[in-house]
Amino acid sequence: MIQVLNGLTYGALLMVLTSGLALIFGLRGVMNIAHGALYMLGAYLSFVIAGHVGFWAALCAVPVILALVGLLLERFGFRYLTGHDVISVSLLTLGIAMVLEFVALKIWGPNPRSVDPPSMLSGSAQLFGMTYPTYRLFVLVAGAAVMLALAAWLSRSRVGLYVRAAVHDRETSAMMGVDIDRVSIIVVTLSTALAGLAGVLASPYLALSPSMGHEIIVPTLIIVVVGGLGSVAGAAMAAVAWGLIETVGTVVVPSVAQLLPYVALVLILLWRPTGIAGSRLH
Amino acid sequence: MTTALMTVSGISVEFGAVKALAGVDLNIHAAQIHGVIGPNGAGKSTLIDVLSGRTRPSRGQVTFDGDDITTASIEARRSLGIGRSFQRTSIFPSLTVADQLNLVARHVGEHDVDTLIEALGLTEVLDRTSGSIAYGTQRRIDLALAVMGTPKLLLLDEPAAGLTSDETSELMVMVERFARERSVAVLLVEHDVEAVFAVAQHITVLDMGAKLAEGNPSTVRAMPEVIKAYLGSAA
Amino acid sequence: MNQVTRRRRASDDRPDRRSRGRGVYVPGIVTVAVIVLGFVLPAVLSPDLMGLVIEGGIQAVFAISIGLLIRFLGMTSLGHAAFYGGAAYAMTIATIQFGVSLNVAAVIAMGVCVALAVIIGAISVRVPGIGFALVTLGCAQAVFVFLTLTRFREITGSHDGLALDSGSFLWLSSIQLIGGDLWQIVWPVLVLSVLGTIVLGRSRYGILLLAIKDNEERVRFSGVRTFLPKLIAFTASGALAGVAGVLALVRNSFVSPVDADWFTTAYGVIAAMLGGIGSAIGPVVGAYLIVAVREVAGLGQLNLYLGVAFIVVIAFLPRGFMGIRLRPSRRPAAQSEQSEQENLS
Repeated sequence: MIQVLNGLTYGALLMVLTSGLALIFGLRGVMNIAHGALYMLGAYLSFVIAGHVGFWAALCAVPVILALVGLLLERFGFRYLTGHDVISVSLLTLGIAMVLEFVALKIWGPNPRSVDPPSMLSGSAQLFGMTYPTYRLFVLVAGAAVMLALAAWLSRSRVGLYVRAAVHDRETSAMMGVDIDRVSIIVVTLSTALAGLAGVLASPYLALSPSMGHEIIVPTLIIVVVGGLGSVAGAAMAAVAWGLIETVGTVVVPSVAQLLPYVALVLILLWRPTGIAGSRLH
Repeated sequence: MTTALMTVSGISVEFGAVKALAGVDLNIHAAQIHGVIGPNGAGKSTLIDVLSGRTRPSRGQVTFDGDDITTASIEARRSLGIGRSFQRTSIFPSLTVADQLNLVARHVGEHDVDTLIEALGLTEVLDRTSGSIAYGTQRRIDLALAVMGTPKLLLLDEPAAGLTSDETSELMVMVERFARERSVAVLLVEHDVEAVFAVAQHITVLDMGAKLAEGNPSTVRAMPEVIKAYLGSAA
Repeated sequence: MNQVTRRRRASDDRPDRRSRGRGVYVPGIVTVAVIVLGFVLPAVLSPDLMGLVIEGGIQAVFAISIGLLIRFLGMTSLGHAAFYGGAAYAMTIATIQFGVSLNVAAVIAMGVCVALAVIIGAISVRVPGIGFALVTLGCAQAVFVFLTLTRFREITGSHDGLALDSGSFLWLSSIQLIGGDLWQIVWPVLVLSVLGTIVLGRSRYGILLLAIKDNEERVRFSGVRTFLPKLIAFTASGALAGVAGVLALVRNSFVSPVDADWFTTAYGVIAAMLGGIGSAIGPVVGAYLIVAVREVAGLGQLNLYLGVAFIVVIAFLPRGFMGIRLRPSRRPAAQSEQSEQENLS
């Protein structure tokens, strides 16, 4: 049961992280390989801000900072490279990831760091007759809340409607008068902000190291593929599934648990070559 | 009445709530040019997509040469003798004209590429990469790739798209001669109504995904519902 | 005789083909000279430098294997480390568990590698667009995770890696393998890989692959099922990556999970694209570039320079370094097509 909670918590974190990636892919067809590095950056910024001001400040500030980074990325990266094919741009984000990783290594060194959870959330809570770290519950709840907010915004608000239309079919939306450039800015900044948020949430929960982006990017990319490229809902489902499979797996078949999500990937792709929610080709 | 080469019965194609085709029936006879016309959005291209295997129909049946090919793959249909050209030119831009013609010729068993090259006026551009030549010439390559191996049935999807009226007439003459000389059945989907009337022996008119009328050119031309469909949608 | 071939030869006489005859001789002589000179290198270079040349050569073979798929099918695999590392692991495990000689172990390794390539290929080549890259990544990570599981530590060594039993390989003794003599194997493999790329580019199969890359749908509409050609290309590419892995193993006498990690593939992709996949020696140039940068700047700075270089190249030089020279600026139509043809080889 504890493992189920662990799985849901990890899944919640992955949900936040992968939804951003799914959005960018849906809009531009690009796999932002730097997404993991941005998450890592968010975590380190959280470390810095939490160290000086506090965790809650970090929770508010980091997504904003990362949103600004996203703005730069969109203006001077993606928008500039619209003529290039999507695989090239995706590989370019690999270059960005490498540089970011180097920068983090230079500034903070290779040793793992950690962030203490805020006093309000430290310790454990009693839940269903079990003791469970309060902070992890917070991640679970926060992650779910963010996703719900995102879903609500996408389906109810006008801007959300434009984003959904543009992500679903860029050309037709453009023809219908949707300002793709503005939507692009919104999507990319939202995506990077979500990566930053995931980083903050992760910082008291996982160890910080310059390679954490590198380590999490593969599961993130795979989840987005399995969820059906471009589908936020699909990514969310796959993210939770991933978290559950990996953690529950450690109880059921501990020796090969880590392998299970990949086996699931292969099986799903054999059944549905285009992912759960289907992919779109740009 | 001779048995049809291809029978299309009750073909419907639905994308969610949108009905691209609603219960279309038609027959194509060997060595006949069968024209399909209709205003924009009538479902002409969807029809060709179904017949060539690109789109699976939601309902209905397609038979060819006596076999049910409703669910047959694209590759299988080509092997059976159904060739198709594309409204949006579909060639191999980074290959030379010669290379792509030879490539397809090998796979469809075409032994006389030279005649085809001359007939379609491609002699001058053989060594050029096809992505760098004029649009009209590219259309002719698209057509060449479709007619190779002398398929029994040729599905032509708006072959005159983007061509001037002179080029269109030239093309129609080529199509008519080709069909006659090689005894090939042709399903000609075209927006240019006069061009179709000039060469087709039988016409089917589609409107809003359904068959509106059919008959020989002079009959169809005079039908009030056909005239209304075209004028009504300001085609 | 088939008229198709007759037409092709006739076109060789056309004016814009005129210099082609001359064009064949010059590269031919240069190529032979380069090949011969290559064998002389161990006698000329210092042992340290020779070590770098060998390492660059092995990485070049790896980069070529990745570059082949990009160039001929437009498919970027992010999972080739599975073949590189997988072959190395298979070979090491074979010597340890079964006590076979290095030669036999290498054969086993290639068998495992080809089997793995067929499996991963069968799953991944069906996935269109960028999904392919991610599926290969996923499969390769599965291999990586498998190799690090503690459950199998006795066989795979998990995170610690495995040491290869020493022995002779092909005609080289175990002592010779550590030094510059390994070049006698690496150089021919590299040369064959480059020549293979050129030959493929002019072959019928190569043109079929290029057609699939250009317009897979039209290939299908011409009656050709594209799955098998793509799978064969993927398997061959994976096998070549495996060869590189075997060579690397023989050189280092050690294999660790890093060899199967996705970053190893990333370096290969970067090497291929830095050098330029448009030419057969592009990936070779890229691989040596990376080795050189690492030597000069040190391992710590490597990611920075590579990352920046990669960004710059993709944004401004999509044809890689080799492409700079070959891109015509303003030339009459006939000549620019000719250089397009040359670019394809």
